[in-house]
Amino acid sequence: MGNIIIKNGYVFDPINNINGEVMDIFIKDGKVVEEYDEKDAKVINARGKTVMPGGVDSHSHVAGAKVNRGRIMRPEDHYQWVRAKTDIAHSGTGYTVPSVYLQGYEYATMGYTTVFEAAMPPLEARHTHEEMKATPIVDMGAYLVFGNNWFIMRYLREGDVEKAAAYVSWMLRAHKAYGIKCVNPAGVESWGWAKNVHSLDEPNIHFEITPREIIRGLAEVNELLGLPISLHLHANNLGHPGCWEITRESLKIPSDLEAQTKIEGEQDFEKREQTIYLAHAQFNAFGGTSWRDFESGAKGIVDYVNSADHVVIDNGAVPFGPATVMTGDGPAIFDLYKLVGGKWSNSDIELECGAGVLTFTYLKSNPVHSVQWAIGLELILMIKDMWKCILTTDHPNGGPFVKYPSLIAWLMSEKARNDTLETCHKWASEKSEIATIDRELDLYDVAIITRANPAKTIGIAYRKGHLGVGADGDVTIYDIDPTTLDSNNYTEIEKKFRIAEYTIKEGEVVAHNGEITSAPTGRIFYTESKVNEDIERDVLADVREWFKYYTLGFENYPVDERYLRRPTPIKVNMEG
Amino acid sequence: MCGMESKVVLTPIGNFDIPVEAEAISPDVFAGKSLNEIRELTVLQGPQKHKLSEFFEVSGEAGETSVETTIVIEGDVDRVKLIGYKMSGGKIVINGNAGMHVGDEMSGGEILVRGDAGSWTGMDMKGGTIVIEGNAKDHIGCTYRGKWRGMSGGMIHIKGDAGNNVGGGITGGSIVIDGNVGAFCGIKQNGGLTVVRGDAKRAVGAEMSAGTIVVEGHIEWFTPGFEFVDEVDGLEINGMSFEGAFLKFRGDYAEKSNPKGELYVSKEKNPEL
Ligand SMILES: [Zn+2]
Repeated sequence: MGNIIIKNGYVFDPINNINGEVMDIFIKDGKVVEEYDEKDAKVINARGKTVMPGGVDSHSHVAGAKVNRGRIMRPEDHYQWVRAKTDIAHSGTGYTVPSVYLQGYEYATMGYTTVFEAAMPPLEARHTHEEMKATPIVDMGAYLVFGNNWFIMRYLREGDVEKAAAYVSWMLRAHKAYGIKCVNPAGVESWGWAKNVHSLDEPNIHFEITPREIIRGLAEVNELLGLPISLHLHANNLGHPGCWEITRESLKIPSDLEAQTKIEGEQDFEKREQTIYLAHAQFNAFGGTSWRDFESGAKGIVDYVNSADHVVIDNGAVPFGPATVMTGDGPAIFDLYKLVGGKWSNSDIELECGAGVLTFTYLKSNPVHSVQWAIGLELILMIKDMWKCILTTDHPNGGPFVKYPSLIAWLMSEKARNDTLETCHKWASEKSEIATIDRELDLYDVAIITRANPAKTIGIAYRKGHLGVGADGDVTIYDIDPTTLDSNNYTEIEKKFRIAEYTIKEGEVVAHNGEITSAPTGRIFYTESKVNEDIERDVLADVREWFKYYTLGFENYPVDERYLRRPTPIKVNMEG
Repeated sequence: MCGMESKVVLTPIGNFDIPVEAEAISPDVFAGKSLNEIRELTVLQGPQKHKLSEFFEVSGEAGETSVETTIVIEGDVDRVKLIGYKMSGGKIVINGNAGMHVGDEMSGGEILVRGDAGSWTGMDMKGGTIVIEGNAKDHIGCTYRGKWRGMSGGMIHIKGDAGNNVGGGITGGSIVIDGNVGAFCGIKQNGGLTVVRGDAKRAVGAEMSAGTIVVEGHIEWFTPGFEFVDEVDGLEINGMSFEGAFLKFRGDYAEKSNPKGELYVSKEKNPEL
């Protein structure tokens, strides 16, 4: 942790309403502080440059069993994308599924300092933490997968939200997880018997619970516990033509709930307003009824998001090129495999969830892929309020996170989009509205969708995503002069966002013009919530009883702090 | 040198312990450089960077362009990898054995190995010619592990035997093995031509979906996913002619329902088929 003063830069800090003002940022002992004497600090002159809070990725698959399966399945993804060892940094390889070291360095190179793993199966929590422990530089956390969990389905089927909440509370603590992830609710359980569910009111096999009941129940649990992040939903029917409709209906389910964030010791900060955070919306915004009449369904999602105040989405965009598709939604991956072939893997996580992995390449010559590219961009450009959206590729599903700069260029430059429309399949312009959109994001918008809003949405804006006094000293300096920025010169935009001039983590320069200059250890954030002790005791009795269905012993189930680096519990709802 | 061919001679001086990765040994890299500049070129041994001159004596003269440059290696370089990596023109002659990955991703020019070659010769090559006068190990003309589409053009000719996985994932170009091959010859082949003049072990054309394989010798265990189509007398493919009666098969039906892979097998040498 260091002392750094960043002088004279154009600062973009949307949480504090700072839009390109020339300001100095003072960091002392790793935190942003009031002005102090510069003889005690390293001084960086950022005159003529763009200064933003460190990037925050709220949805990325970077740790755990399925990510590692992707690495194992794809030696071809590794042998040409390498980073050599230096005195400071390890060597690393991998493009869409980089090794743990490399992904830390690549995020830092790009100006990101916080990354949240999007889906941690409880049984794979130890593995996930081991990988996060080995990922350098960035602060991390992981969302725990609940949408097809036997205990949750049982309690919610019985209408017992309190017990469900007590179970979630214990699970987050036991597995050192941050929030609730819900993947294809009810459907993944049926996938264990080669089935799926296709509507919000279709009950699944054995538990006979519907997606609607699970989404509603988990959203209620979320607000009962007052978790930092809202329910994080991977909606049903993902990846199927026409899925935009079930997605919109899913978003409506928690519209009457009130967002409750009860973090101990943190009162006055930019709290989340949403009660549902839709993951990788692009994959759930397909229109048409088949692949023959496939079209963008973005408008249906966007119209609803524009009219509602309880929804945030991340776009899960497709930048073209290689990807590795991986999700807890096993049936969706299987359907895709039947469609395109490639290397496929599937697994069941006993009592909890499952996962599928598939190698994939998005081609400009492919009509469907071209529309997917358009949908990803529509889902930000057509949303009026940037505080309702977040930029992701659902790494590595739409493409690797190192392609974020290309997406920023497309969002900031109509010319970039038009030039791509000329080289990709005509369906992109014919089956979406992308060709008619002339909106160009500015640097303030980009700062919202890449740092301020992800931090706000996951409920960590008391320390991340802004540069006010008390925030973590995570800062990115891009070699971009806002006064001469030309959106037509989009290759320059892409280049500058790809390699930050400086990435600063807790007051230490971690990356400078693409080189790793230090590799400190990041924090792991997880949630510790409290519920009524009697209810928790009853729930634990249920858990012990049903543990006979697991292939491991109860005592080996929780993950203790030794598996975490710089464990940072966030205490919520402590009145119980 | 006014368009005449210039020659650089590399004489191995030993020190090959951990294999040396010498992508720099290519007419494209040597062209237009002085001998001293060539001596200073970087090669890797493990994670350590070294100068080319730590492993080779360098003499002769490089041409202005790759096409005008010939590199002659006087001796065995079994433990030197990646000679001719990505070369687009010119010529490399190895008067001895070559190491792994000779001619990886080459797009033009010519490589001649007077001795044996290591594994992965011509991996993912796009054009040009590789001739090995001796034997070769595994993965000749085969794509990288985990990849399903590799060599797309050019020609590899092995005058001796080759090991397993010859031509894995090729989509174009041709590979001719004068001797015998091991298992999985033409695995995942998706185009191009693979010719085996001698015998093959097993799984010839496994997971093949397009392209042509010709086996003039005996196949020890025939691949189950192939169906008999026809009997033909004499073959003419890519300007090569094959005499005698051949059984024509289509496959691999284990890979897809309408495969376009063609497998021709000598009738005389495979009486059990
Ligand atoms: Zn995801």
